[in-house]
Formats: sequence, C-alpha cells, structure tokens
Amino acid sequence: MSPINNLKYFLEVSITTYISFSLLYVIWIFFIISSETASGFNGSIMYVPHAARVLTICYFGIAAIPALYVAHVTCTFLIGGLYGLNNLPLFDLLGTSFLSTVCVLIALYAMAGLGFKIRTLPFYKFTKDSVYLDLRNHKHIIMVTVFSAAVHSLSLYVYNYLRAISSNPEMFVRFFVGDILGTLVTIFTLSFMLFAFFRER
Amino acid sequence: MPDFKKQLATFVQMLRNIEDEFKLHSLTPNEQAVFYTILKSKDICNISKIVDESGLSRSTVYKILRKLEDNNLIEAFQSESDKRESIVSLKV
Repeated sequence: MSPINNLKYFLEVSITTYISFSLLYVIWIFFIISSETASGFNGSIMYVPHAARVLTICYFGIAAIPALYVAHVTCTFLIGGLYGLNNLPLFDLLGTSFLSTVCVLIALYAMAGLGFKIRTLPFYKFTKDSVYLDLRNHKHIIMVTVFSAAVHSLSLYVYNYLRAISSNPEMFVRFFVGDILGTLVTIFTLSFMLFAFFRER
Repeated sequence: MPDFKKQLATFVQMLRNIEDEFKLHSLTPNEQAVFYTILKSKDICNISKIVDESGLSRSTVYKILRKLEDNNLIEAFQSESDKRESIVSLKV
C-alpha cells in the first residue's frame, strides 16, 4: 500500500472521527442543558460522546486516536467552555482528555489479556486459538463499552483524586453508568435511524 | 492497510443486526408509524393517542397492536384508573 493511500485512509478516519465526536458532543450539550433546567438532572449520566470513542477505535483502530484526542480537547474547550462545563486548567484538560481518549484502547488490550481480541488493533500475537471480537455483533460492542466505561471512570477518578480536583466517589458511578447508557442510546438510535431512512422495503 | 469503506460496512452490518434481533425490518410503514408513536411517547401511551398521532383508523391500530404484541415488541395492559382503557408500552 502506497504512502498516499495510507494518508488518504488516515484522513478519512480522522475526519469521520472528528465529526462524529463533535456531533455527539453538541447533541449531548443540548441534552444536558435542557435536562438540567428541567429537573437538576446531571447530563453525565448519559454521556453520548463515549459512543464515538468506542465505535471509532473499535472499527478504525489506533488511526482514530489523534482525531479523537483533538476533538475531545477542542469540543471541551470551545463548546463546553461556552456552557460553563470546562473549569479545568489547560494541563488538566489535556490530561483528562488523554485518559478519556485512550480508555477504550486500554480496555481493548485488557480484554485481549482475557482472551478476547479485536482485529483492528495491532501488537497482539494472533494465534489459531485466539477468540476474536466480532464487530458485526452488537453484543461484543456492548461488552467493549462496559469495559471501557469502567477504565474511563476509574482512571478519571484516580486522576481527579491525585490532582486534588475531586474525591467524590459519586463521580465514578455517574461516569460509569453515563458512558454505558450514552453509548447504548447512540447505537440503538443509529439503528432505528438506519431502519427508518435507509433500508429498502 | 485496512479499507475504510469495508470498516464502515461492518459498522452498518452491526446496526442491521440490531434491527434483525428486534425484528424491526418485518414491519410495514403503518406498523412502523404505530411502533414509533409508542417509542417516542414519554408518558403513558394509550390507543386513542396512537390513533391521533399516527392518523390511522382505530381498527387498523388495533390490528397492528395485536401483531406487534404477537411479535413480542409491545405489551398491552388495562389502565388502573379506567378499566375500559388499554395502556401500551414497549417490551424491548
């Protein structure tokens, strides 16, 4: 494969990743704003942008990571900042964004350690006996979602604790549940949309 | 080098598998209208509401609800406040 094709693939993946994360972030902002004014409900209980992390890294592999990181930083800084959702100093914004971006990757390697491997990521030793995650099976994607939500909420909780930003354990539970719920809602909504608009009848 | 279009096709296949699992593809446009009316109703959904919002006749709605119930997509039960009224909710 030529370098031009490599670059083309990288650009395609980066643009898709950046747009999908930003779009879900904007949808989430609308969700959090409307729900918070209604009943004091905290929007991180359904964090839909986590779906972009899970889906892009599962389907595109590590090529999606740079765009995902840039999207995370810019969306939190530019859009989140407008709505008062970003009160962190730049160093912590970059740090938490990095953890949030690599959480799916860490989860996938942890799952590989348990025997469930995914073909889109390199560095494993693929053997005949390897059990592969099937990217066409939504149950496997949901399993990655649960693992990555656990890694994400735990790593952010530890980071916030060590940097003396927050030590509230409620945050851990909220992030864990929020990432799972947000991803499930996104996947099922996309499936309904696909069915409603694109499927031949 | 992976193929971008192939990866997207795999993703779409995953979404289609969800449809297949929940048997959504077997619904006609009228059945979809009723299904989506129930899906998007935040509060209690009764038959009058489905008739109003879907624009279908009452008998058509009844027929469709029976089919959706047979397909295990919805469940219907009697309202506690008004025994003449049936409440419909999603099963998925």
